[in-house]
Amino acid sequence: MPMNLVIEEVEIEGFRYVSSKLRLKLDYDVVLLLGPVGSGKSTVLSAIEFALFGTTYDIKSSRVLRVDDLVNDFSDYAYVRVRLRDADTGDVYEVIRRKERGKASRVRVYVNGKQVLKGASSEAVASFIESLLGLTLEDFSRQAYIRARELEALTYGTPSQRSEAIDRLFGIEMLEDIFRSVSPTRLDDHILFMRSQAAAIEEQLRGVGDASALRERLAHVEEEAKRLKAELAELEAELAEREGELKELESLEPEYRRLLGLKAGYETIIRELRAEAATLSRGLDLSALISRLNSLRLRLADLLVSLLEHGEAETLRREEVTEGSLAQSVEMLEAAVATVSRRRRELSEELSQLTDRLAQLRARRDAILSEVSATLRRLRELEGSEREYRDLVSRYGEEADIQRGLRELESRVAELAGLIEYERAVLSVAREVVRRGERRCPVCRRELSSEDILRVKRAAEEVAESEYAAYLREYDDLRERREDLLQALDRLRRLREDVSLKRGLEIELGRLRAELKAIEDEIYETEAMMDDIRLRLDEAEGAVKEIEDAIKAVRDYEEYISTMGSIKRYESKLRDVMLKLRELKYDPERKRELESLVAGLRERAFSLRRRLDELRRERDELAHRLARAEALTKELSEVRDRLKRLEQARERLVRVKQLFRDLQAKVRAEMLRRVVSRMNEVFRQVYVHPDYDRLDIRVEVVRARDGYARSVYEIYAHRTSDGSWVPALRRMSDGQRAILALSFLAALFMTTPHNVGTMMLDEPLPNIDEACKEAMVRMLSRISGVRQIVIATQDPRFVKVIEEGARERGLKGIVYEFSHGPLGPVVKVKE
Amino acid sequence: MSARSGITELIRRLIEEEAEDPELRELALEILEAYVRGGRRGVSELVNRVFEEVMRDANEPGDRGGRD
Repeated sequence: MPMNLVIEEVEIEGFRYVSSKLRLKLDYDVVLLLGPVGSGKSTVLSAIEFALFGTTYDIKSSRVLRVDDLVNDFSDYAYVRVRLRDADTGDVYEVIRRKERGKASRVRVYVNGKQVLKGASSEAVASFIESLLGLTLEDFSRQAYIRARELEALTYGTPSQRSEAIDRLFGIEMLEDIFRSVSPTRLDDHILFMRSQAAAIEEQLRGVGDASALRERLAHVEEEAKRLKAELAELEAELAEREGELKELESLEPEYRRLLGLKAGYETIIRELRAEAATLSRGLDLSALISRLNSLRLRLADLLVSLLEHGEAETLRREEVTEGSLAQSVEMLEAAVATVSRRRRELSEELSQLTDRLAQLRARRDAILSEVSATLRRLRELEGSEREYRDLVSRYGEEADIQRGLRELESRVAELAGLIEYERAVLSVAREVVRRGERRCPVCRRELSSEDILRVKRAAEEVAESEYAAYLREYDDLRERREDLLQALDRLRRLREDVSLKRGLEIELGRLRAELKAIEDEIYETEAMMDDIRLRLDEAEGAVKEIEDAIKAVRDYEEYISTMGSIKRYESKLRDVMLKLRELKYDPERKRELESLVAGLRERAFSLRRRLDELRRERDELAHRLARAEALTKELSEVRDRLKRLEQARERLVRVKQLFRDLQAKVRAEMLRRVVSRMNEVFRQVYVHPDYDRLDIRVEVVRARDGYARSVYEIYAHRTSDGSWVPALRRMSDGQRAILALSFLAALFMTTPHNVGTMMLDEPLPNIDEACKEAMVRMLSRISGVRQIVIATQDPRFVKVIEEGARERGLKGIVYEFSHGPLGPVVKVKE
Repeated sequence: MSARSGITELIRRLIEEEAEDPELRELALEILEAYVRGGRRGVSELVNRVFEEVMRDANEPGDRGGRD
């Protein structure tokens, strides 16, 4: 293709860093956009890209940036106009693109000043521009608009990054994209799941068992069950027959046992009766017994007489005991014994009453004896009182005498008391008269003389010494005597009571002694009566005992007779029972044999049934397991089938992935074949030093960790010193590598067919020396098809390179110096 | 023709040449077409479709003793 389109002019407004209108004339061979970071150089290049394609490669390849981000923050819209000129025909193409924030961009295209595609769709316009340029946005960004990062990826990245960058430049990144997009992950996940499912089923199957083995075992079990069933049927038939026989015997058994019981009972009875008869017959003498009975009969008659039962006694004497009348005699004797017994009871009762009476009498006797003893003791006490009484009477007389003496004494005492009182008064008066010195008689009131007074005094003293004293002595004697009499009287009275009491006690003692004698007489009589009764009782008892013994002997005799009769009866019954037992035809031995046989048959039948049950259970379990094994086998087969299909599908995907990797290697090789020779042409022009003279890029296949074979680009440089090919990126300097990368990109630009004659370089080759820079510009200007170079750089040394190029080779160049302004870049022109 | 379409054509031709297995060749071409039409997403959708078909086929009774 001609590569004839060059950029003549660009006008920018409201785009990225450029807010106000900026128009740059670019119609030069070399255009240098020089300025510091962020001064707007790259904005100009992006604006050209935007105008032509409505977006930028950065936006298209980035998920962060949007087209709206291209609109300047201080503008409502972005406006870019690019004017292109066909260097061969002179036709001018103008593309004007306007993008309002939030809206789609609008584009107008003018050809030689005339708008074309007016009203056409944006796709149609885009198609027109792509046809005009011969490049899509991706191709433009790869071949005409070279960014620093592409160069860096080529020279500094890992082999993978380098390969991806070269693929992108070749436009063959789709092969790696396809390889990565064809992901068997879901299939892998499902295959893993299916494998685990198959493993689980296999595990279950191992637990259940192998189907064929189960089937074989099931058949064996069923065969054994059939055989056992037949055996059981035979066994049950025999068992039924034996059980019938046994049942018949068992029906006879109760009667047999009853007869056996009877037999045993009769035999026992007979044995016991015989023993009893032997006991009864021991010492039995009938005539002696009759003689003894007659003797006892008479004795009993005497006893009845003594018991005042004369009538019955007479009967006994009359009725003699004989062998023929033995029973009647025994009855008679028993009646007599009953009478004796009744009388014995009466006598015993009488004896009991007498005993009670005797005890009462003895108690009374003892009480009387006690009273007599107490009375005698009291009488002995009272005898002293009687003696004292008689002494007092002999001394003081009777009580009347004492009382009379007392009355006389009392009379005299009263008299003496008056005399003593008189004498005492006289004496008192006399003494008072003397004491007071009275001159008059206190009685007759006559005048007393001193002699009188003296005489009175003497008289008084005489009285006091004689009469008064005599009176007082007599008085005291009389009083003492009176006291003595009073005491004697009192004592006499008391003693008289004791004497009286003694008389009463003596009378009572006499009465007690009389009663005691009467009681003792009665006790004697009672004891005699009791002795008599006891004697008769003893006699009756002895007689009764002997009679009873005799009667018992009679009874024993009778019982012996009766026992012998019983023995005969039971022997007859025993014979009957023996006869019936023989007729019954019950054989216990046969029954035992049958029971043993039936038990054995039952046990065997039980064992067979149990074994059949076991076999049935085993058969059921085997059938269940077999069904389960068959189901699991079927399920496993289905899972394996599915797994196989999935694995086949996965294998297909793996193979197709590998196919694309293989294709990638071939396409890479094909693309390199087109570019490498051109790259070497460029390299030799740009790289002015002698150490390396050629480059080569080879496709080398390596085995990746994911198991796929993949190819990588390896760049080699031919070292002139030894003629060897060395890995360029490991041996060359940064600058050499930058030149290598630029050579590759230039070769790509040259080998790819398109209509664009402009190469735009954004910060290319930062580390190369001036000689290489100059060579690069020279080379670019000489590359066939490159009609225009636009370089955005911070490096001012490019100015010198351009100036020299202009001076030496007549290149037309311009330098726009960018700097930071308040609302956007400030641009100065340096032509 | 753009560079990309040229590349696509080159790859298609190489697939025809390199893939001997017709099934593999067909799948590779389908994938390429899907990529041309829808990029990576197109390929992913195709692979998913292939997966779904495989799953559907796998869950259907097979020729070798599927469910009655």
